[in-house]
Amino acid sequence: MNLPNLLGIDTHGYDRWVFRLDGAAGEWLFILLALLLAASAGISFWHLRGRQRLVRRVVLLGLRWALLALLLVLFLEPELELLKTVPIRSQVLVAIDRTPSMTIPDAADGEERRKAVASALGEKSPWEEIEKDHDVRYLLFTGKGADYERAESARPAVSQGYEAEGSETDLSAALADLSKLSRERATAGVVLVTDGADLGALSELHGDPGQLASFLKRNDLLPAAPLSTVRVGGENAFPDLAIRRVIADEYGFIRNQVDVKVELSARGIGGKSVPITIRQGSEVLASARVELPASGGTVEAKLGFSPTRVGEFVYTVEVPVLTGERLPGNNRKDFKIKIIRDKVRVLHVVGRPSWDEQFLRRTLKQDPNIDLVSFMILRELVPIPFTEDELSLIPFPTDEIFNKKLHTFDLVIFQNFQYVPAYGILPIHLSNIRDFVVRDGGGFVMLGGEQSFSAGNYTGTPIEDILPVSLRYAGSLLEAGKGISYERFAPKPSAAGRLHPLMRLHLDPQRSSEIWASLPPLDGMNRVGDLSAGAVALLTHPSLRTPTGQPAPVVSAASVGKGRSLAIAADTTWYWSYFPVDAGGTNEAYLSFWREAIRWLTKDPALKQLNVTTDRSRYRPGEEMHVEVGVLSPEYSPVSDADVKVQAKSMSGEVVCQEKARSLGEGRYETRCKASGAGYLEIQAEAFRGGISLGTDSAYVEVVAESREFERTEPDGELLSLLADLGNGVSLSITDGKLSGSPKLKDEQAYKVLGSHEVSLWDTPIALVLALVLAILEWWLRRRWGLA
Amino acid sequence: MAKAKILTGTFRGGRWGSALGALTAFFLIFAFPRPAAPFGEKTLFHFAQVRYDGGTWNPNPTAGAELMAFVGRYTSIRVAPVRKDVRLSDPDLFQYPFLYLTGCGALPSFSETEIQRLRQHLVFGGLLLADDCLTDPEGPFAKSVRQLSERLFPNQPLEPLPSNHTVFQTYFLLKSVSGRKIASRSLDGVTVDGRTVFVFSSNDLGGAWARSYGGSFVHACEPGGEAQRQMAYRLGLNLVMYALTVDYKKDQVHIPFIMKRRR
Repeated sequence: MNLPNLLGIDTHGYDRWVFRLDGAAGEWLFILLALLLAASAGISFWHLRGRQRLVRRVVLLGLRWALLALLLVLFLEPELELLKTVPIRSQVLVAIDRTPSMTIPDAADGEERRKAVASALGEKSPWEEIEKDHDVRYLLFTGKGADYERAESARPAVSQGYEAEGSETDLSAALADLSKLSRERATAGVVLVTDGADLGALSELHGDPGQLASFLKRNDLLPAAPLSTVRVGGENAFPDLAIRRVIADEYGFIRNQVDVKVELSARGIGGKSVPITIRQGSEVLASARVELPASGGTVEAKLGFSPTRVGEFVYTVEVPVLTGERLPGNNRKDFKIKIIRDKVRVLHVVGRPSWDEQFLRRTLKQDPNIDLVSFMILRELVPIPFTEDELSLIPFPTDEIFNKKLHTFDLVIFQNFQYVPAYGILPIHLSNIRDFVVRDGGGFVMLGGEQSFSAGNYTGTPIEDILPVSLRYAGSLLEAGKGISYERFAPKPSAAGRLHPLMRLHLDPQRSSEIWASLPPLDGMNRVGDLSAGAVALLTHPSLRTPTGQPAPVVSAASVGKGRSLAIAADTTWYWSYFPVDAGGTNEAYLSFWREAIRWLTKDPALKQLNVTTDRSRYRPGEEMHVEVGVLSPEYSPVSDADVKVQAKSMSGEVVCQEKARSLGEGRYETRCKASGAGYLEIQAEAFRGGISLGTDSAYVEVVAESREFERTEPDGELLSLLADLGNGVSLSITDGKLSGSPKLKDEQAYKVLGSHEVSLWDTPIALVLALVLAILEWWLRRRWGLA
Repeated sequence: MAKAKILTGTFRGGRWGSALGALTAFFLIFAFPRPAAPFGEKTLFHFAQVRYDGGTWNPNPTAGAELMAFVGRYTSIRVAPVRKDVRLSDPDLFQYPFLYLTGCGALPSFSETEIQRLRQHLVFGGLLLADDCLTDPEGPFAKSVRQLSERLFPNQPLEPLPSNHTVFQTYFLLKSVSGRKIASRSLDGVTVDGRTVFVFSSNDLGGAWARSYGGSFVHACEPGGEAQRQMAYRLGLNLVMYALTVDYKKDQVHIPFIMKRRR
């Protein structure tokens, strides 16, 4: 007996029925009406209290409620739909992951995940049973977002194996597709076969099931049938240590620690301790050891290093490739940081107070871009009859400044400062200064005086190694009493000096030469030897000569290793500041000289003669990079007739492109290179004019690989289990090439409606008569029982 | 860490004390090796005294040399032993950034060219020490110094230097000013862009420094006697050191040491 029969409805010719409430405009309206009716009944009952016996009250209230309930039913317009149907086969959607991560093998037998899927699909159970009653569609999917792709295949074909291709795993794209397909025709179930190594939106959400559920619902990602998941790959997957993320600021300050956080994921390795390093090229900048969690998972390592050069650099984080690892590529990751300078830190060490020192110190002190630390020797190493408390003198902290804190400076200036052990200066301190320049890229200046150069005992010391001039000849002159020249002289800019950026006192080279010619002569100079290899004399003595007969260098400069040095063999350069003022001029020449000297010594990027730029900072492999090179002469005028060579090099040193740039005029050159590989490329440019190098420059671009697929390789059973729960399905796995169970499917038979007939359950005279009877009966009883 | 403390003791004033001190210093200085001579006479620190017409421009002829001897003896500054006399109109005025101006009467009215030149001299690196031989803050020299200051720096007042001014700690830690006679408890000064370029002493520092050619001090110091004279030398040395090192002793590295010693 069923409802139509109970109601006496003729169901002949129909095999199904459906009960419906046609009049319900909406849930809220139904609830509102129900509440109004209940309130009305309640009020009636309250009116009767104390005026009638309980039995009468219950009878009256029962009649009222029966009437109201009848009215509510009439309002809801119940009806039966009788259906004439034929059974049909519903579809089952089996979505199979074919992203590149499915090529990852499991350790147990070395079988790739996609092969495990093929094996599982080659089994009879449960597929044959499902295929018997359903149309099973085998869908191979790959790709992320708009690149999502789906291909349909047959089980026998898939079980023979399939190619993994496409970019990244994006389960949200696959679910959106399955949800849509499941609504297009009767669907008994959806089966998602994947490793779950998602790189789409779901990977960010699966830590919060509530958010995941909300996301799935909001985006209609749950199919209209039970969603079962099949995890491929498992606990027995091969061991893998991977760098998941490197977190560092985009900018860092020179000689200040740059903090780098590295997120590592480990699987199947156990609780090992592994080294992690940050390097720049082959130079290791920081290293630490990381304890990997015994049960696998992620761990964070913190490292720091102090960059020593200004510019844009690519650094590499690396962990070792452990035994059994099959994805060595995810054990290193490159990242880029732009190193800038907030202030130039200058260490000014002065052998004795003098006017030369006063003018230089004031110049440095007044420059807001300079952080100056000075030390001056204020007294001789002779006894004086005063107590320490009467004096403001402090100990000379040689070890502090020349050992512990030296790395915090950009530039060290020795002004008439003598190397004497009595000051506490040890040979190691001088070696430190040499390393500071040669290895760490610092700047060094030696200014003249009777305690400087060879007269300051620097002959044969590490300081001589970094000076632009030799001291040995000068040492012999010193012994002969000729180490210092006392004559007044007017130094002359050398040919190289006229072009050198350090000597630029005016933007116009001609005007700059005129200014140099107008500066007052100097009094006395330290005799120095020939120039060191690679050094250049900028100002020379008009008559004194070096041992090889060259004009004696008064101001000379050199690039030494990574750093630069400047020698000024005079102690009256303050004349350049002071005397022009008396002649009606300004001290601008002196200020410019030191400003340019400090910029040159500290390698101010603005003083580069070459400047490489690219149209973008990121490319995909195969895309064309548009490289532009700006070329300036030593006097900073545009050079349009240079040979400019450009090459792009990977971080491993592989040259991926080598081109000659063509001139665009006005000192601009351009060329195009194809990006290839993945990671960063260094775009190097070098310009030559007349066979002489005008300098080099480089910039970094990132080639973004098509896929980040192998950044995340471990199967995510937790995500798949959550999806199965939310999709009312079951969570399964493939073990030893077999499915661990059967996916959940809808029980009911799918059918096709051939015809239908609607039978209204409210639109009958009986309902109206019943309502009238109930109302009249209540009215009659009320009258009889003396109620209004 | 190396410490430069080699010998400590107290400096005793008085004729015999001074003679003994000078002898000891002579012995000690020459008993130790000294570095080579500087680049010539021009590169030494010169005590340049401003010469002017009218009035008494040079009441204590030996004062400068005495101060230079003191500075040369106890500091690493290379000093010229002989005073240099310059006029504000001399072509080589800028060769001498440190100028000493004294007198016992009113200063002459310097020409506008001289004033402008002196202003440039001071603003671009020099220092002028004016010293009142009369020790009278209301006297003619003091009045004319104030007028000179007003002409040089109409927008910067000549005002007392605070007790924590660098000039009181450039070498010696000083708690007060000094001179031949204490007429004022402070030095006055004009500060331009953070550097004091003009210092005025009302206490006749030169009178305290001056000796006769026979070696004895010319004037008695009142009321503090030889201790006061010693302080006058120390203040003179600090002023020379200030001219060369400016605010060096205000650098952060010195502050804890100086605070500790001043306690």
